[in-house]
Amino acid sequence: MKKSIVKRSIVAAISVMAATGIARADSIRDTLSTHKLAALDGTTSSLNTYRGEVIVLNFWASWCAPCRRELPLLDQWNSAWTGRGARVIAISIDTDAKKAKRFAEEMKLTLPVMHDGPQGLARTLDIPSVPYTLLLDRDGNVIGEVKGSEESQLAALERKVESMLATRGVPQEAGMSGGSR
Amino acid sequence: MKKLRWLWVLGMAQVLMGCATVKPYEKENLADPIMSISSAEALRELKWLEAREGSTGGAGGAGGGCACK
Repeated sequence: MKKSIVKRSIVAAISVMAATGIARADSIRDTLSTHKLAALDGTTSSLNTYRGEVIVLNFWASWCAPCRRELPLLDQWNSAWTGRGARVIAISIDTDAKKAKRFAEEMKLTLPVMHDGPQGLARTLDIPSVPYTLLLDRDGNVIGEVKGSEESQLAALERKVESMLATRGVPQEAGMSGGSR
Repeated sequence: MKKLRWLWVLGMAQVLMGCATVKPYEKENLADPIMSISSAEALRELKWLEAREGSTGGAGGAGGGCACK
């Protein structure tokens, strides 16, 4: 009798945790897809515009040295994936959009650069590091993340995107965080 | 003794109240070069050196401090 109560409690606890996790994932997907992002030219859009494409979402700032180092690499990825169903979107969390614009111009970045400031998505998602990179599938679900600019994790992310483009599915691959969001 | 302990507790509370957690996305001001202790210290040291030696421009500049290039 006692054992059965314990078992039921464990199952109930796991169910509640799973339901909470799913609800949180849905809420993050909705937040990401509907949040208005301003491009450096002043036009606004949301990630919904890119629904159907694999998105690598990179949070960066001009004051962050690792971000400045990794952005040229992300720009190369974006160029390689353009027209193949994936893209990289860089979201600047600089307070001043001019700093982001100046940096993007200096580096001759061709990837879409948005400005959202520190109080936008970064705060809503409470991002754990800068830079912070999320991988979204074609439905806008977060399926991977890279905290910081660890080369091996970025390489794993690139492989994952390439494999998604090849199979048009979501591969399971070790070496990169599976997206706790 | 008890009073001392309370004083210590109050002192620690005062010190700890000054601590704050800064989120990674809120570190823009902290990342500013002006917040670097070393660069400010280097400037101050240079100022002392210049005052002591009676010369200027010997560190990092093109000139040698003797009006010749």
